[in-house]
Amino acid sequence: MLRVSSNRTGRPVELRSIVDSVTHPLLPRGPQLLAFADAAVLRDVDEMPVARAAVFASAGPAGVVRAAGCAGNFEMMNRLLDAIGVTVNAPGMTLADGLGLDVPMHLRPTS
Amino acid sequence: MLVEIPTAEAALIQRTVAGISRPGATLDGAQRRTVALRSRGFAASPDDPPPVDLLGELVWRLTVAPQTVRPEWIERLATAGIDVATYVEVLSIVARITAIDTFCFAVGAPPADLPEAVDGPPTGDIAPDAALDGGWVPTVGIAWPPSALSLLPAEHEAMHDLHAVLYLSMDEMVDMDADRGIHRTEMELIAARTSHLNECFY
Repeated sequence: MLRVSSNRTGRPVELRSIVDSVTHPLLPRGPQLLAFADAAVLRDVDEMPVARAAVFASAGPAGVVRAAGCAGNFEMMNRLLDAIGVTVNAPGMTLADGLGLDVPMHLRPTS
Repeated sequence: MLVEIPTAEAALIQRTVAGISRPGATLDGAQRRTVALRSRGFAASPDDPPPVDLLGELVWRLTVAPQTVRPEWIERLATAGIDVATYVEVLSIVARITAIDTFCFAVGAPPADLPEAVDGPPTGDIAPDAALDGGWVPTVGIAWPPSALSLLPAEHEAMHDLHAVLYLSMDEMVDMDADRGIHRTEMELIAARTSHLNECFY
């Protein structure tokens, strides 16, 4: 979805930034949003206020709410997909290869 | 700095905790509430060892290590008395309480109180047309994100409710130029990072 949205709306994204914290995602507010996601998912009580203030400064309260909503929603979806055994599709496998991620055997497509 | 939770998100949080404390398909309200409270405890102490009771292990694994779930383990649970419908019900509770707790933490709000359990027996509401279709648990149609909880209609509906309010409705998913405070590409950046942190490859 990140690649699709990036390509269709002309907003370049450096996908390596997802797995490499020192790589800039290219999106202007990307570093703040990535730091926000890190703090939220890792429940970092020290970093969360800092990250929230940074997103607030760049995207306002609505930006903070949606960033929090996205992190929360995908905390849910990740658990659902891991727990019901949805396999990674072919484009996902290609992306994982490109990012140097090793998809476990039990999540690889069978055909 | 705290951020005021908008009306729609505040109502969703209340619907979620109220729904967890009501009877579900296979668990009563008290059991469901206990699952949510135990999940919160494990999330607060993720490095603690897993509990020894089987239901506790299930809640723990879905909370702190969902990437370690394997089909053989789900079968072992069933052999020991936690059937697949209960497995899906516990998954729904853990996944949804984690979602709203993450949301509240991120905006600077305290976690929502879980109301007292509503009395009553489990509803037994299980989709009669669910079957194994590409996943490890029965689903209505092929196993993929929108059908993940479709074995249990009430949990399926609650998941879609949460997805629509916090992120996008399934109908809105096709809009790659959506803007809800941040642009869709920015939303997907957060989604991708969250998945990476959770070691989820989907």
